[in-house]
Amino acid sequence: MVKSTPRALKLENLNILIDAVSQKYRTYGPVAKDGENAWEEVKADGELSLGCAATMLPAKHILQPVRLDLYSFKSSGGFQIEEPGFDEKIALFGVSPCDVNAILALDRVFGGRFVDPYYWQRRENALIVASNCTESAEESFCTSWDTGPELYSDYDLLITELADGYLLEVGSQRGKVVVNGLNLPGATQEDLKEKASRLDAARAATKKRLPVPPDDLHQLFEERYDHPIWVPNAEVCFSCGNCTFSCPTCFCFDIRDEVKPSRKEGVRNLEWDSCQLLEFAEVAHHANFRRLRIDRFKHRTIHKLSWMKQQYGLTGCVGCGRCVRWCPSWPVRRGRITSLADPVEIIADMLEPPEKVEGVERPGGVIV
Amino acid sequence: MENPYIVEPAAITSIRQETDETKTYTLKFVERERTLQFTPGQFNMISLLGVGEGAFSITSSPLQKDDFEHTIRLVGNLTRAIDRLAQGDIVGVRGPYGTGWPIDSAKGKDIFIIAGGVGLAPLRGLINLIIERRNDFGVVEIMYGSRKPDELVFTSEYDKWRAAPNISLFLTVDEVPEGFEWTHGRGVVTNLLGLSKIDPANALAFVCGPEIMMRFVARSLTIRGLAEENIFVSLERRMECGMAKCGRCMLGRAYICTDGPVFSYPEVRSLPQNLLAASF
Ligand SMILES: Cc1cc2nc3c(=O)[nH]c(=O)nc-3n(C[C@H](O)[C@H](O)[C@H](O)COP(=O)(O)OP(=O)(O)OC[C@H]3O[C@@H](n4cnc5c(N)ncnc54)[C@H](O)[C@@H]3O)c2cc1C
Ligand code: SF4
Ligand code: SF4
Repeated sequence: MVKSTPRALKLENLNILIDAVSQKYRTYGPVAKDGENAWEEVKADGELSLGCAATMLPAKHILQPVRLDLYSFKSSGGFQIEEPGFDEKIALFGVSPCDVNAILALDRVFGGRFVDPYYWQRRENALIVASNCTESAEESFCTSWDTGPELYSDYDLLITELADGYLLEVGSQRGKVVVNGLNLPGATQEDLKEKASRLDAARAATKKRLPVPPDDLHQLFEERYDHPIWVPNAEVCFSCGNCTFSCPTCFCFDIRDEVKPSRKEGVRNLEWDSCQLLEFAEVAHHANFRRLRIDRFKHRTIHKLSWMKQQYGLTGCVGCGRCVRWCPSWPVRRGRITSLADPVEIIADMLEPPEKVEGVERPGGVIV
Repeated sequence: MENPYIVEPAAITSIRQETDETKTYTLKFVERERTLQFTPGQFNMISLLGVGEGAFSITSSPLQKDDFEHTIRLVGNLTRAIDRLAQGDIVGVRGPYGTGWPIDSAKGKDIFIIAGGVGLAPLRGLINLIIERRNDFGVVEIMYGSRKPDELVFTSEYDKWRAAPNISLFLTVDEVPEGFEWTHGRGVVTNLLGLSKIDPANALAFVCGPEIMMRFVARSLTIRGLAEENIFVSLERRMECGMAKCGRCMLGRAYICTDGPVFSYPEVRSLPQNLLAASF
């Protein structure tokens, strides 16, 4: 596909590449901020914090902002609608393999019969500079889904850290255009071997694993939808929504109108929302289709782990471990302190024989 | 890129008061000659810019080409603002969305149409379509219940429905106010099934109303011998987009907005939360 430029190049330092990318694209990457890492705009020679699902929030808010204007309107008798323009080209620099897989899932959500132009205007021109993970965070379990630590496709450029620089692989014409003028040397066989052995090491270091093969999850949740373990689990859920806001494949939103004091003009906007919040499924007269916390807790869990695959053909969990890290509730399960939202722990719960779990009591409030 | 979130202006050409809280609005697109192509059971998203947007069933017959109708009950912010509109006012419309009633599989069959309250809204277009294409379908029995007599909708059309060949309309209410003359049934809508003359072996049922009501109706129909796959219900969930994006209307793996709102009984049974459970 790429003829004049070799597919694999050697890069001395990242700044050369950040420089080249940011000349053509408004570039975002994981940078340290307030003690955590966040997706922020990076300039040439900016400091990146690459690594296994390093950012608190995934990059989804670059493609689907937390809040965006759908359109502005003026009304006087009838109405006029004005759509916001968007012709900026953005680059996501240093996306981990699990997060690239999450973007592929979002592509399907925002594609299909009704194509969402707000997502796709950004996505279509976005340059994906992915970064393989040469280390593994304790909370991650990407190897179980085969969504990491190595990315095999769906990138424009892919970097892998080596002892003396970076391996840079070109995955598309768009990626090729960025690196063409850089006169980078081709990678050697040794570089490629080093990549393989580093990623093998990362694979081996990923100790956290799903206790069943992914293909079995559908049946497991179907059969154990009424497993008694959901009850004590839901009792210690705060319905805070951290598990969904931090998840790279979560996409639910609300649409709201905001009006100027004249009431004649305003903006209709879209804002992230979460199925874990009580109001999410509330309708008129305070009727609520998911009033019970247990129904909300189950919905998020099973949607990630089974239903999303049935809806879109791609897994709704990529094993990034963010929900594990950011869930504030840490009950004792099987003798260990665990994160309530942890998909691996919830699946392990499901595998407990229901009779054994009957009557498990954990302190908690009323389930609403 | 085409933007499916954009609403198109439509003018209210007439308003009919159905009950204290419910009105039927006739709408016509303002900017271009456009006929809304839809199947009864489908819905539009109706907007008042600056107030909000909501899902509303299309209640006219698809053979009515010049304009279309919505029947809207006042329950909250948006519907209150809609309630204040007058003839000539403009609303925003996008759609149609969702699945409609499976009309093709009803051809040549007898049909139960069973509704509660404003649940008759998504079925009214179907009833009027059947009347316009009377020879395509068998015997039709409409069974409709509401809380009180003055909460029945589309009363101005009952005479027309009753006059059509092989259509019966059975009504029931939960309570009759003192002094009110009422010659129809009392009690839940399932009581009306006793009056049915339809052979369940060659029939379909289209049901819409509160979930608890649909649960009892579906059960009674199966007891009478209607096959589960011949029972269809219309579900309702909060929804923002109507296009399987906002995630709000999901029930298990199903999006009510695009996989529904019309589902077969076995489909609903395969979804979580035991909505129309066969046992209690
Ligand atoms: C497929 C479908 C078809 C419908 N058809 C009709 C119809 O023909 N006639 C009719 O009167 N109503 C119908 N509804 C219900 C209608 O959408 C709500 O009554 C309306 O959105 C309420 O808005 P509100 O702002 O007045 O209420 P509020 O309580 O102020 O609304 C708050 C929020 O909840 C949402 N909401 C509130 N109630 C409902 C509800 N019951 N269903 C879904 N979302 C809700 C609103 O859109 C809004 O976002 C239908 C709903 C669905 C899903
Ligand atoms: S469910 Fe948790 S581990 Fe899985 S992708 Fe979402 S945040 Fe990451
Ligand atoms: S599972 Fe954890 S993160 Fe998710 S809503 Fe409950 S307490 Fe919050």
